[in-house]
Amino acid sequence: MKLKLLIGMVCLMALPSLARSQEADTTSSRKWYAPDGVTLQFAGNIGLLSVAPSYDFAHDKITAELFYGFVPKFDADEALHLLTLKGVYKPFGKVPLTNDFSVTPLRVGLGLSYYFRSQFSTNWSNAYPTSDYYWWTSSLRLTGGLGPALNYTLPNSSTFKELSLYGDVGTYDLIATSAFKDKTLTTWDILNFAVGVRISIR
Amino acid sequence: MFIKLKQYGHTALGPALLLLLALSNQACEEFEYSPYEVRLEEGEKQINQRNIARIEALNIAPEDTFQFILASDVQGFYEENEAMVKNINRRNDIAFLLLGGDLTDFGLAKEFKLINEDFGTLHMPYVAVVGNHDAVNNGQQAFKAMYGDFNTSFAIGNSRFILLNTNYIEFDKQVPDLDWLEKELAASAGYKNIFVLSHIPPGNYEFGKENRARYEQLMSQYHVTYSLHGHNHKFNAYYPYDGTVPYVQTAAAEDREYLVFTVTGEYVSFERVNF
Repeated sequence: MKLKLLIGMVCLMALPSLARSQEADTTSSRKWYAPDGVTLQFAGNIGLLSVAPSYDFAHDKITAELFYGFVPKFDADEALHLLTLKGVYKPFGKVPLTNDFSVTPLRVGLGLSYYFRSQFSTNWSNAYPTSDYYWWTSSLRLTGGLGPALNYTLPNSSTFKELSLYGDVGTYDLIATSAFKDKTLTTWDILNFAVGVRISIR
Repeated sequence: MFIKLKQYGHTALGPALLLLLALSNQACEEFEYSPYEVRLEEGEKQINQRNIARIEALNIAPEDTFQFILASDVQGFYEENEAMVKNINRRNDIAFLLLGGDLTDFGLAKEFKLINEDFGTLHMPYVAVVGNHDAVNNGQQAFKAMYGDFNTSFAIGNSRFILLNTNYIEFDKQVPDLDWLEKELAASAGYKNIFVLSHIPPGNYEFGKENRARYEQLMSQYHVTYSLHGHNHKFNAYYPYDGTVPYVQTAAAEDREYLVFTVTGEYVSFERVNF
Protein backbone atom coordinates (compact mmCIF):
# COMPACT_ATOMS: atom_id res chain seq x y z
CA MET A 1 0.00 0.00 0.00
CA LYS A 2 2.77 2.40 0.99
CA LEU A 3 4.80 1.39 -2.06
CA LYS A 4 1.85 2.23 -4.34
CA LEU A 5 1.59 5.63 -2.75
CA LEU A 6 5.30 6.21 -3.26
CA ILE A 7 5.17 5.27 -6.95
CA GLY A 8 2.25 7.61 -7.40
CA MET A 9 4.16 10.40 -5.68
CA VAL A 10 7.17 9.82 -7.88
CA CYS A 11 5.05 9.97 -11.05
CA LEU A 12 3.60 13.28 -9.89
CA MET A 13 7.06 14.64 -9.24
CA ALA A 14 8.13 13.75 -12.77
CA LEU A 15 5.23 15.66 -14.34
CA PRO A 16 6.72 19.17 -14.33
CA SER A 17 9.78 18.06 -16.24
CA LEU A 18 7.62 16.35 -18.86
CA ALA A 19 5.53 19.45 -19.29
CA ARG A 20 8.66 21.52 -19.75
CA SER A 21 10.02 19.25 -22.43
CA GLN A 22 6.80 19.44 -24.43
CA GLU A 23 7.00 23.16 -24.22
CA ALA A 24 10.56 22.84 -25.46
CA ASP A 25 9.34 21.01 -28.57
CA THR A 26 7.22 23.94 -29.60
CA THR A 27 9.74 26.64 -28.82
CA SER A 28 12.71 24.44 -29.85
CA SER A 29 14.91 25.93 -27.15
CA ARG A 30 14.99 24.15 -23.81
CA LYS A 31 15.48 26.04 -20.61
CA TRP A 32 18.88 25.47 -19.00
CA TYR A 33 17.30 23.81 -15.99
CA ALA A 34 15.06 21.45 -17.97
CA PRO A 35 16.42 17.97 -17.27
CA ASP A 36 17.53 15.59 -20.01
CA GLY A 37 15.79 12.75 -18.24
CA VAL A 38 14.13 11.46 -15.10
CA THR A 39 15.64 8.63 -13.06
CA LEU A 40 13.90 6.37 -10.60
CA GLN A 41 16.07 4.13 -8.42
CA PHE A 42 15.27 1.29 -6.03
CA ALA A 43 17.72 0.71 -3.10
CA GLY A 44 21.45 1.46 -3.38
CA ASN A 45 21.69 3.35 -0.06
CA ILE A 46 20.09 6.53 -1.38
CA GLY A 47 16.54 5.57 -0.32
CA LEU A 48 14.12 2.69 -0.75
CA LEU A 49 12.91 4.67 -3.74
CA SER A 50 14.57 7.78 -5.02
CA VAL A 51 13.78 10.03 -7.95
CA ALA A 52 15.98 12.54 -9.73
CA PRO A 53 16.11 15.02 -12.56
CA SER A 54 18.97 13.84 -14.74
CA TYR A 55 21.37 15.97 -16.80
CA ASP A 56 23.80 14.82 -19.49
CA PHE A 57 27.21 16.37 -20.13
CA ALA A 58 30.23 15.71 -22.33
CA HIS A 59 28.32 13.90 -25.10
CA ASP A 60 26.45 11.76 -22.57
CA LYS A 61 29.66 10.41 -21.06
CA ILE A 62 28.79 12.09 -17.78
CA THR A 63 25.39 12.31 -16.13
CA ALA A 64 24.55 14.34 -13.05
CA GLU A 65 21.46 13.52 -10.99
CA LEU A 66 19.93 15.03 -7.88
CA PHE A 67 17.91 12.36 -6.06
CA TYR A 68 15.30 12.82 -3.41
CA GLY A 69 15.23 9.56 -1.46
CA PHE A 70 12.87 8.15 1.11
CA VAL A 71 13.39 5.35 3.64
CA PRO A 72 10.34 4.13 5.59
CA LYS A 73 10.84 3.93 9.34
CA PHE A 74 10.65 0.11 9.49
CA ASP A 75 11.82 -0.60 13.08
CA ALA A 76 13.08 2.95 13.80
CA ASP A 77 11.06 5.79 15.33
CA GLU A 78 10.97 7.85 12.17
CA ALA A 79 11.41 7.69 8.39
CA LEU A 80 14.46 9.14 6.63
CA HIS A 81 14.55 11.79 3.93
CA LEU A 82 17.71 12.51 2.00
CA LEU A 83 19.08 14.29 -1.05
CA THR A 84 21.84 12.69 -3.10
CA LEU A 85 23.94 14.39 -5.72
CA LYS A 86 25.17 11.61 -7.98
CA GLY A 87 27.61 11.71 -10.86
CA VAL A 88 27.69 8.84 -13.34
CA TYR A 89 30.63 8.32 -15.68
CA LYS A 90 30.25 6.07 -18.75
CA PRO A 91 33.76 5.33 -20.06
CA PHE A 92 32.53 3.20 -23.01
CA GLY A 93 29.96 4.00 -25.68
CA LYS A 94 26.74 2.11 -26.27
CA VAL A 95 26.97 -1.34 -27.85
CA PRO A 96 23.99 -1.93 -30.18
CA LEU A 97 22.11 -5.23 -29.78
CA THR A 98 19.21 -4.76 -32.20
CA ASN A 99 17.65 -1.71 -33.81
CA ASP A 100 15.94 -0.74 -30.59
CA PHE A 101 18.18 -2.19 -27.89
CA SER A 102 21.69 -1.29 -26.84
CA VAL A 103 23.90 -1.91 -23.83
CA THR A 104 25.98 0.58 -21.89
CA PRO A 105 28.73 -1.75 -20.62
CA LEU A 106 29.73 0.25 -17.56
CA ARG A 107 28.35 3.09 -15.49
CA VAL A 108 30.49 4.26 -12.59
CA GLY A 109 28.58 6.28 -10.03
CA LEU A 110 29.60 8.38 -7.05
CA GLY A 111 27.05 10.02 -4.78
CA LEU A 112 27.06 12.38 -1.83
CA SER A 113 23.96 12.12 0.38
CA TYR A 114 22.66 14.71 2.80
CA TYR A 115 20.33 13.53 5.58
CA PHE A 116 17.67 15.74 7.10
CA ARG A 117 16.65 15.04 10.74
CA SER A 118 18.12 16.32 13.96
CA GLN A 119 20.13 13.20 14.84
CA PHE A 120 22.40 13.86 11.87
CA SER A 121 24.66 16.86 12.21
CA THR A 122 27.22 18.38 9.90
CA ASN A 123 29.27 19.59 12.86
CA TRP A 124 29.83 17.48 15.96
CA SER A 125 29.00 19.09 19.29
CA ASN A 126 31.82 21.21 20.70
CA ALA A 127 31.23 19.43 24.03
CA TYR A 128 33.72 16.73 22.98
CA PRO A 129 37.14 16.79 24.62
CA THR A 130 38.94 16.74 21.25
CA SER A 131 37.87 18.10 17.86
CA ASP A 132 38.56 14.75 16.12
CA TYR A 133 36.60 12.61 18.60
CA TYR A 134 34.58 11.21 15.67
CA TRP A 135 36.26 11.51 12.28
CA TRP A 136 33.25 11.36 9.95
CA THR A 137 30.39 13.78 9.32
CA SER A 138 27.05 12.40 10.40
CA SER A 139 24.70 14.10 7.93
CA LEU A 140 26.81 13.37 4.82
CA ARG A 141 27.41 9.90 3.39
CA LEU A 142 29.46 8.95 0.34
CA THR A 143 28.14 6.10 -1.81
CA GLY A 144 29.58 4.54 -4.92
CA GLY A 145 28.69 1.79 -7.36
CA LEU A 146 29.08 0.40 -10.83
CA GLY A 147 27.13 -1.72 -13.30
CA PRO A 148 25.73 -1.96 -16.81
CA ALA A 149 22.57 -0.55 -18.40
CA LEU A 150 20.19 -1.87 -21.03
CA ASN A 151 18.80 0.85 -23.28
CA TYR A 152 15.62 0.76 -25.36
CA THR A 153 14.96 3.43 -27.96
CA LEU A 154 11.41 4.74 -28.05
CA PRO A 155 10.85 5.51 -31.72
CA ASN A 156 7.18 6.43 -31.57
CA SER A 157 7.27 8.95 -28.78
CA SER A 158 7.58 12.65 -29.39
CA THR A 159 8.34 13.27 -25.72
CA PHE A 160 10.71 10.49 -24.75
CA LYS A 161 13.87 9.36 -26.44
CA GLU A 162 15.11 6.33 -24.59
CA LEU A 163 14.39 4.08 -21.65
CA SER A 164 17.38 2.66 -19.73
CA LEU A 165 17.33 -0.05 -17.11
CA TYR A 166 20.46 -0.14 -14.97
CA GLY A 167 21.85 -2.29 -12.19
CA ASP A 168 24.46 -1.27 -9.62
CA VAL A 169 26.76 -3.05 -7.22
CA GLY A 170 27.86 -0.54 -4.62
CA THR A 171 29.07 0.26 -1.14
CA TYR A 172 29.39 3.31 1.12
CA ASP A 173 32.12 5.08 3.07
CA LEU A 174 31.49 3.87 6.65
CA ILE A 175 31.14 0.16 5.92
CA ALA A 176 34.07 0.30 3.48
CA THR A 177 36.30 1.65 6.27
CA SER A 178 35.03 -1.16 8.53
CA ALA A 179 36.12 -3.71 5.94
CA PHE A 180 39.47 -1.96 5.68
CA LYS A 181 39.89 -2.20 9.47
CA ASP A 182 38.80 -5.84 9.79
CA LYS A 183 39.78 -8.33 7.12
CA THR A 184 37.15 -10.89 8.14
CA LEU A 185 34.32 -8.74 6.79
CA THR A 186 33.46 -10.38 3.47
CA THR A 187 32.65 -8.73 0.18
CA TRP A 188 28.98 -9.64 0.73
CA ASP A 189 29.04 -7.84 4.06
CA ILE A 190 29.82 -4.52 2.45
CA LEU A 191 28.27 -4.73 -1.05
CA ASN A 192 24.68 -3.98 -1.96
CA PHE A 193 22.57 -3.88 -5.11
CA ALA A 194 20.46 -1.22 -6.72
CA VAL A 195 18.26 -1.15 -9.81
CA GLY A 196 17.06 1.92 -11.59
CA VAL A 197 15.30 3.15 -14.67
CA ARG A 198 15.95 6.37 -16.54
CA ILE A 199 13.77 7.87 -19.21
CA SER A 200 15.45 10.48 -21.37
CA ILE A 201 13.50 13.35 -22.81
CA ARG A 202 13.73 14.60 -26.39
CA MET B 1 13.62 -11.91 -23.13
CA PHE B 2 14.82 -9.13 -25.42
CA ILE B 3 12.80 -10.45 -28.35
CA LYS B 4 9.70 -10.76 -26.24
CA LEU B 5 10.10 -7.25 -24.98
CA LYS B 6 10.51 -6.03 -28.52
CA GLN B 7 7.34 -7.82 -29.65
CA TYR B 8 5.20 -6.40 -26.90
CA GLY B 9 6.85 -3.04 -27.17
CA HIS B 10 7.47 -0.81 -24.22
CA THR B 11 4.10 -1.63 -22.67
CA ALA B 12 5.75 -4.81 -21.40
CA LEU B 13 8.51 -2.91 -19.66
CA GLY B 14 6.27 -1.46 -16.95
CA PRO B 15 4.97 -4.79 -15.61
CA ALA B 16 8.44 -6.34 -16.04
CA LEU B 17 9.96 -3.60 -13.88
CA LEU B 18 7.26 -3.89 -11.25
CA LEU B 19 7.81 -7.65 -11.13
CA LEU B 20 11.54 -7.10 -10.70
CA LEU B 21 10.87 -4.58 -7.94
CA ALA B 22 8.47 -6.94 -6.16
CA LEU B 23 10.88 -9.88 -6.42
CA SER B 24 13.84 -7.90 -5.21
CA ASN B 25 11.86 -6.39 -2.38
CA GLN B 26 11.06 -9.81 -0.98
CA ALA B 27 14.05 -11.88 -1.83
CA CYS B 28 17.21 -10.13 -0.98
CA GLU B 29 18.72 -8.28 1.89
CA GLU B 30 21.52 -7.17 -0.40
CA PHE B 31 19.18 -4.36 -1.42
CA GLU B 32 19.99 -1.66 1.11
CA TYR B 33 18.07 1.57 1.35
CA SER B 34 20.41 3.58 3.57
CA PRO B 35 23.34 3.10 5.95
CA TYR B 36 21.00 4.59 8.55
CA GLU B 37 18.00 2.31 7.92
CA VAL B 38 16.76 0.18 10.84
CA ARG B 39 15.20 -2.90 9.23
CA LEU B 40 15.35 -5.97 11.46
CA GLU B 41 14.48 -9.65 11.40
CA GLU B 42 12.20 -10.86 14.19
CA GLY B 43 15.15 -12.52 15.96
CA GLU B 44 17.05 -9.22 16.03
CA LYS B 45 14.49 -7.30 18.09
CA GLN B 46 14.41 -6.77 21.87
CA ILE B 47 17.51 -8.89 22.43
CA ASN B 48 18.10 -7.66 26.01
CA GLN B 49 14.53 -8.32 27.04
CA ARG B 50 14.52 -11.83 25.59
CA ASN B 51 17.95 -12.68 26.99
CA ILE B 52 17.08 -11.34 30.45
CA ALA B 53 14.09 -13.70 30.41
CA ARG B 54 16.51 -16.54 29.57
CA ILE B 55 18.81 -15.52 32.45
CA GLU B 56 15.91 -15.41 34.92
CA ALA B 57 14.76 -18.82 33.64
CA LEU B 58 18.09 -20.28 34.85
CA ASN B 59 16.44 -20.21 38.30
CA ILE B 60 19.69 -19.69 40.14
CA ALA B 61 19.08 -19.83 43.90
CA PRO B 62 20.65 -17.24 46.30
CA GLU B 63 23.07 -19.87 47.69
CA ASP B 64 24.19 -21.07 44.23
CA THR B 65 27.54 -20.12 42.73
CA PHE B 66 27.43 -18.64 39.25
CA GLN B 67 29.82 -16.95 36.84
CA PHE B 68 29.31 -14.19 34.32
CA ILE B 69 31.57 -12.52 31.76
CA LEU B 70 32.17 -8.83 31.16
CA ALA B 71 33.40 -7.91 27.68
CA SER B 72 33.34 -4.48 26.13
CA ASP B 73 34.20 -2.31 23.14
CA VAL B 74 33.75 -4.98 20.48
CA GLN B 75 33.20 -2.41 17.72
CA GLY B 76 34.49 -3.54 14.33
CA PHE B 77 36.73 -6.23 15.85
CA TYR B 78 34.91 -9.06 14.10
CA GLU B 79 37.99 -11.27 13.92
CA GLU B 80 38.65 -10.95 17.68
CA ASN B 81 34.93 -11.31 18.48
CA GLU B 82 34.74 -14.61 16.60
CA ALA B 83 37.76 -15.83 18.56
CA MET B 84 36.24 -14.61 21.83
CA VAL B 85 32.90 -16.34 21.23
CA LYS B 86 34.69 -19.57 20.25
CA ASN B 87 36.84 -19.36 23.37
CA ILE B 88 33.84 -18.72 25.65
CA ASN B 89 31.79 -21.49 24.04
CA ARG B 90 34.54 -23.96 24.90
CA ARG B 91 33.81 -23.48 28.61
CA ASN B 92 30.53 -24.48 30.24
CA ASP B 93 30.73 -22.59 33.53
CA ILE B 94 29.26 -19.23 32.44
CA ALA B 95 25.65 -18.18 33.11
CA PHE B 96 25.58 -15.10 30.88
CA LEU B 97 27.70 -12.37 29.29
CA LEU B 98 27.50 -8.60 29.77
CA LEU B 99 28.56 -6.39 26.86
CA GLY B 100 29.80 -3.04 28.14
CA GLY B 101 28.90 -0.89 25.13
CA ASP B 102 30.43 0.24 21.84
CA LEU B 103 29.08 -2.69 19.88
CA THR B 104 29.52 -0.53 16.77
CA ASP B 105 31.75 2.19 15.35
CA PHE B 106 28.99 4.18 13.66
CA GLY B 107 25.71 3.06 15.29
CA LEU B 108 24.67 1.33 12.05
CA ALA B 109 21.97 -1.34 12.22
CA LYS B 110 24.20 -3.34 9.89
CA GLU B 111 27.01 -3.32 12.50
CA PHE B 112 24.63 -4.31 15.30
CA LYS B 113 23.44 -7.21 13.11
CA LEU B 114 27.01 -8.36 12.46
CA ILE B 115 27.77 -8.21 16.20
CA ASN B 116 24.62 -10.19 16.98
CA GLU B 117 25.70 -12.77 14.38
CA ASP B 118 28.79 -13.33 16.55
CA PHE B 119 27.43 -12.96 20.09
CA GLY B 120 24.11 -14.56 19.16
CA THR B 121 26.01 -17.84 18.72
CA LEU B 122 27.13 -17.82 22.37
CA HIS B 123 25.81 -20.85 24.26
CA MET B 124 24.62 -18.44 26.95
CA PRO B 125 22.50 -15.26 26.79
CA TYR B 126 24.15 -11.84 26.47
CA VAL B 127 22.88 -8.42 27.57
CA ALA B 128 24.29 -5.14 26.19
CA VAL B 129 24.50 -1.61 27.55
CA VAL B 130 24.67 1.31 25.08
CA GLY B 131 28.07 2.90 24.29
CA ASN B 132 28.83 6.33 22.91
CA HIS B 133 29.59 4.98 19.43
CA ASP B 134 26.26 3.11 19.48
CA ALA B 135 24.47 6.42 20.06
CA VAL B 136 25.77 8.41 17.06
CA ASN B 137 24.20 8.76 13.58
CA ASN B 138 20.93 6.78 13.75
CA GLY B 139 22.36 4.48 16.42
CA GLN B 140 20.03 5.45 19.25
CA GLN B 141 17.04 4.27 17.21
CA ALA B 142 18.90 1.16 16.05
CA PHE B 143 20.01 0.22 19.60
CA LYS B 144 16.54 0.80 21.00
CA ALA B 145 14.94 -1.41 18.34
CA MET B 146 17.51 -4.20 18.75
CA TYR B 147 18.34 -4.14 22.47
CA GLY B 148 15.50 -2.18 24.07
CA ASP B 149 15.62 0.40 26.88
CA PHE B 150 18.87 2.31 27.44
CA ASN B 151 18.49 1.85 31.21
CA THR B 152 17.45 -1.57 32.45
CA SER B 153 17.95 -4.02 35.31
CA PHE B 154 17.49 -7.65 36.22
CA ALA B 155 18.15 -10.01 39.12
CA ILE B 156 19.58 -13.49 39.47
CA GLY B 157 20.14 -15.37 42.74
CA ASN B 158 21.01 -12.77 45.35
CA SER B 159 22.53 -10.36 42.81
CA ARG B 160 21.00 -7.40 41.04
CA PHE B 161 22.36 -6.00 37.77
CA ILE B 162 21.69 -2.39 36.78
CA LEU B 163 22.56 -1.24 33.24
CA LEU B 164 22.94 2.54 32.97
CA ASN B 165 23.33 4.80 29.93
CA THR B 166 26.25 7.15 30.70
CA ASN B 167 26.77 8.62 27.20
CA TYR B 168 26.39 12.19 28.39
CA ILE B 169 27.36 14.05 25.21
CA GLU B 170 25.48 11.85 22.69
CA PHE B 171 22.30 12.17 24.74
CA ASP B 172 22.50 15.97 24.92
CA LYS B 173 23.71 15.99 28.53
CA GLN B 174 20.40 14.43 29.67
CA VAL B 175 22.10 11.23 30.90
CA PRO B 176 23.10 9.50 33.14
CA ASP B 177 19.69 9.49 34.77
CA LEU B 178 20.96 9.37 38.36
CA ASP B 179 17.44 9.72 39.80
CA TRP B 180 16.48 6.51 38.00
CA LEU B 181 19.70 4.92 39.24
CA GLU B 182 18.96 5.88 42.84
CA LYS B 183 15.47 4.35 42.60
CA GLU B 184 16.98 1.14 41.22
CA LEU B 185 19.58 1.08 43.99
CA ALA B 186 16.91 1.62 46.63
CA ALA B 187 14.92 -1.25 45.08
CA SER B 188 18.02 -3.48 45.36
CA ALA B 189 17.96 -3.38 49.16
CA GLY B 190 17.12 -7.08 49.53
CA TYR B 191 20.07 -8.24 47.42
CA LYS B 192 23.53 -9.17 48.70
CA ASN B 193 25.31 -8.06 45.52
CA ILE B 194 24.67 -5.07 43.29
CA PHE B 195 26.47 -4.61 39.97
CA VAL B 196 26.12 -1.34 38.07
CA LEU B 197 27.27 -1.54 34.44
CA SER B 198 27.77 1.48 32.21
CA HIS B 199 29.99 2.25 29.24
CA ILE B 200 31.77 5.46 30.27
CA PRO B 201 33.36 5.48 33.76
CA PRO B 202 32.58 8.47 36.01
CA GLY B 203 36.20 9.67 35.95
CA ASN B 204 35.99 10.39 32.22
CA TYR B 205 35.20 13.88 30.94
CA GLU B 206 32.49 12.35 28.67
CA PHE B 207 30.55 11.16 31.77
CA GLY B 208 29.66 14.76 32.56
CA LYS B 209 31.70 16.48 35.24
CA GLU B 210 28.62 17.49 37.23
CA ASN B 211 27.48 13.83 37.52
CA ARG B 212 30.62 12.28 38.92
CA ALA B 213 30.33 13.17 42.61
CA ARG B 214 26.71 12.05 42.94
CA TYR B 215 27.36 8.80 41.04
CA GLU B 216 30.29 7.89 43.28
CA GLN B 217 28.37 8.91 46.38
CA LEU B 218 25.45 6.64 45.32
CA MET B 219 27.81 3.70 44.73
CA SER B 220 29.15 4.04 48.28
CA GLN B 221 25.83 4.85 49.94
CA TYR B 222 24.13 1.73 48.53
CA HIS B 223 27.19 -0.50 49.02
CA VAL B 224 27.41 -1.45 45.35
CA THR B 225 29.56 -4.56 44.86
CA TYR B 226 31.18 -3.45 41.62
CA SER B 227 30.90 -0.43 39.34
CA LEU B 228 31.66 -1.91 35.87
CA HIS B 229 32.78 -0.03 32.76
CA GLY B 230 34.43 -0.14 29.33
CA HIS B 231 35.20 2.74 26.95
CA ASN B 232 38.90 3.35 27.61
CA HIS B 233 40.15 0.14 25.90
CA LYS B 234 42.34 -0.68 28.86
CA PHE B 235 41.92 -2.82 31.99
CA ASN B 236 41.84 -0.86 35.22
CA ALA B 237 40.68 -1.60 38.79
CA TYR B 238 40.55 1.17 41.39
CA TYR B 239 38.76 2.50 44.50
CA PRO B 240 37.73 6.15 44.05
CA TYR B 241 35.68 8.34 46.44
CA ASP B 242 35.75 6.81 49.95
CA GLY B 243 37.61 3.66 48.89
CA THR B 244 34.76 1.22 49.65
CA VAL B 245 33.53 0.34 46.13
CA PRO B 246 35.75 -1.29 43.48
CA TYR B 247 35.47 0.19 39.99
CA VAL B 248 36.56 -2.13 37.19
CA GLN B 249 37.12 -1.06 33.61
CA THR B 250 37.63 -3.85 31.09
CA ALA B 251 39.75 -3.89 27.94
CA ALA B 252 38.48 -3.88 24.34
CA ALA B 253 37.97 -6.98 22.20
CA GLU B 254 41.08 -5.99 20.21
CA ASP B 255 43.12 -6.56 23.40
CA ARG B 256 41.82 -10.17 23.40
CA GLU B 257 40.74 -9.95 27.01
CA TYR B 258 37.53 -10.41 28.97
CA LEU B 259 36.74 -10.67 32.68
CA VAL B 260 35.09 -13.62 34.44
CA PHE B 261 33.25 -12.83 37.67
CA THR B 262 32.46 -15.57 40.15
CA VAL B 263 29.61 -14.99 42.60
CA THR B 264 29.36 -17.28 45.64
CA GLY B 265 26.87 -15.97 48.15
CA GLU B 266 28.25 -12.63 49.27
CA TYR B 267 31.70 -13.33 47.95
CA VAL B 268 32.51 -11.98 44.48
CA SER B 269 35.85 -12.23 42.67
CA PHE B 270 36.99 -11.75 39.12
CA GLU B 271 39.82 -12.85 36.87
CA ARG B 272 41.22 -11.51 33.62
CA VAL B 273 41.13 -14.02 30.76
CA ASN B 274 43.14 -13.67 27.57
CA PHE B 275 42.11 -15.58 24.47
